[in-house]
Amino acid sequence: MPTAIDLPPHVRDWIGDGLFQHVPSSVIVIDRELEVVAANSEFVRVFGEATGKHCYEAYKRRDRPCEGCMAIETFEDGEVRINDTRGIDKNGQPAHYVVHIVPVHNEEGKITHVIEMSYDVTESRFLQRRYNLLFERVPCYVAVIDRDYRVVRANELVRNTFGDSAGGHCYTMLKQSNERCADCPAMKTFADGGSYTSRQLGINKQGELTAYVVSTAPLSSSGRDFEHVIEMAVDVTESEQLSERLLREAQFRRRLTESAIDALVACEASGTINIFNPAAEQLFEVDALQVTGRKQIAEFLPDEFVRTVAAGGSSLQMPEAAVVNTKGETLPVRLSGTVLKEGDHVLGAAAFLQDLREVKRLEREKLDSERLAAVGSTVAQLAHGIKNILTGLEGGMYVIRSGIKKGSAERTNKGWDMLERNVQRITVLVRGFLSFSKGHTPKAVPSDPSRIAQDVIELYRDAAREAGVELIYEAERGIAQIDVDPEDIKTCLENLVSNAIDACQASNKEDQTVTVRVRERGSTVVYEVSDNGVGMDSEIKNKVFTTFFTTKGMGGTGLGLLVTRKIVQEHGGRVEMESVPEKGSVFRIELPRQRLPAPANQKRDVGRDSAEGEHSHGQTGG
Amino acid sequence: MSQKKVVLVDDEEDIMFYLQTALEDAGYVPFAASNVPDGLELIRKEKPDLVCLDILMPEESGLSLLHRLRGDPATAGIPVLITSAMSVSRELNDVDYLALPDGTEIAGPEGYLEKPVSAEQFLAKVAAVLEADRADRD
Repeated sequence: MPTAIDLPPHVRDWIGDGLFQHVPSSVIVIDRELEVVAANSEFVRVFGEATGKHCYEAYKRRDRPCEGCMAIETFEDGEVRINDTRGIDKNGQPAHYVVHIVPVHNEEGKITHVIEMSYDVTESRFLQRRYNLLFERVPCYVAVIDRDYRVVRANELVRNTFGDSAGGHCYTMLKQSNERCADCPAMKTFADGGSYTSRQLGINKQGELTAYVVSTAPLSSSGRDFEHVIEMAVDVTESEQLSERLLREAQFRRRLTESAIDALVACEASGTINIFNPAAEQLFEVDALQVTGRKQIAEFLPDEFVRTVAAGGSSLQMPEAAVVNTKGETLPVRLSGTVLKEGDHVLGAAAFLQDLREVKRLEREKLDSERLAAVGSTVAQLAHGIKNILTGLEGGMYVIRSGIKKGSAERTNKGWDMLERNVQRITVLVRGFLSFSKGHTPKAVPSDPSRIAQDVIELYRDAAREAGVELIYEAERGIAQIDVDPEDIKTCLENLVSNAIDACQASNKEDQTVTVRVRERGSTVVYEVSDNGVGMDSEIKNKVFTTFFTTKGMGGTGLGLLVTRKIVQEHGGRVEMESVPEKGSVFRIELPRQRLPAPANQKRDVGRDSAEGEHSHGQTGG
Repeated sequence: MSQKKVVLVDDEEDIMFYLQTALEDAGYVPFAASNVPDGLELIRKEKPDLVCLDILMPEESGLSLLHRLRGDPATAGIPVLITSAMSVSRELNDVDYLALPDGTEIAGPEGYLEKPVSAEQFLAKVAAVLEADRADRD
């Protein structure tokens, strides 16, 4: 390349003036006073008119020289200097530029002027800062490695996660290993300049396994001849843990569903069944494969639930529902259903069905055994009543013998009376017992619970008035009909009311009352007969049902309460009693609706004994 | 030997008359009450040699009367014969009426008889209880 001296004169002239003006950088010439003697058009364009000003004024709007001014140094030692500095442009905006400071010598070799040539790097510095920020703060691992697999640079996340070990090997930093990884994607990139992605398992600085997916790319502007590879990696430890957990939960749910004792039938919003677990297969006696994705819930679940789903309701509990299996058998179930929704949008529905066949069977057995126990206990206690009567008969015979021996007609007659009376007693007792022990199934018909009580009140109104007892009737309004044998329930209430009036008469109180209440408590119809009569001590209380027992001397057979309990048990209910001596007694007949017998005109759902006995139990309590 | 007094407490009229007649025929002096309060009054008044008690009676039971007799020093020593149609010994083993309110236990009855009972059995038992009582006192 020729030196400037060898150039043709016009070229040299152009360099002297044209180049000064047209070079694409800002150029000024300053003298030893740091005063600008010339400024090219680029300088004026950026920093404004400068000739005659001091350089520090022109560049930085300062009123005195900059500290450590490089131009002053160059005036002194003649060295070329490069300065990276900031100034203020003519619009008052900060400008970042690089200045080359070059001395100009005169013929004597003395430095008379300095030329400052600067180019603006504001934009590139800004980009660099942005790039740095991006590099450092991007929420993934970024590292640059050289061909020796040493980490040239690693971003904040890498340093925080794996520790700061710039200069070390990447495999040491990321995996605490001493050897290059066999499946190193960077190696492939170094080999062919391509980009590679792979999943790697690293060890973080806490020693925990860290899963990440890494992509490598050559770091070069041309795409060829590169010395570095940039690695960018995303941590997948958490998402892998999450997906593993989801997988486990899904498996757990599936097992739960499959091993559930209750049948589970779930459907999409359309009603198409998508879950039909093994218990459902058993209940409906059909293979799930023939059901899921093919059948609608309406084919299996009660209409009420299907309607709830269609209406977008929320949940439905049916303690006693019925479903029909594929063999056409009606099965009793307890249904607990939920409509799955997101906001108002129905996603689907699920219903759990508990097979109540076994429960029903056990309930039936329990009822049967309760009935047997009542009968057994009655038989045992019957002996007690009979023994008393036998004593009376024994006594009658003795008294007759004694009267004959003493020639006392009066005593003999008294003996005959005793015999007659006790024969009569045993007749009444046996008749009552026969009616009691006879196989009897209540003839249940839908009945108004209040009406039954009212009938009994009417029956006893006069008797109560004569006895000086106030008979009070309280009924809750609107109790729905119950399936009972109304005559049976009347018999029970008659026994209780009659006993209550007797209990009042046995006391010396002034205001004697018997109250009959009818109400419903949680699907259980309750009849309550209370009195403020003599009450019972604990001995009598314990004997009230179990003993063939009466406190009425010759007046009662002791069967009344036993009959009452038997009838109530036949209706699936129970009799409760509270009593305080001198305060009075409360007898409560509780009839849970779901345990009531099936109405007589309907097909029985259970195989109850169908023995139809004499209908009435008779009035045995009075 | 002076005639022995026996108080009968039973709510069944026929049974009471029967036992009363049998006692009379055998030379005892019977007194009869049909409930516990009357029986207690009669016992306190007559200081009998023996009390015959039914268990199940309206309002207050024979065991309650036994309890009261045992709790009163004036009557605690009178022997008591229980006559009941219940399986007597079993029932008595079942109940805890023999404990006084202060926790001390009282002696059970001196004799049990299960109804029905013949006059011969009854009188034999009455004689046996009285004899045992006499032996105790000697």
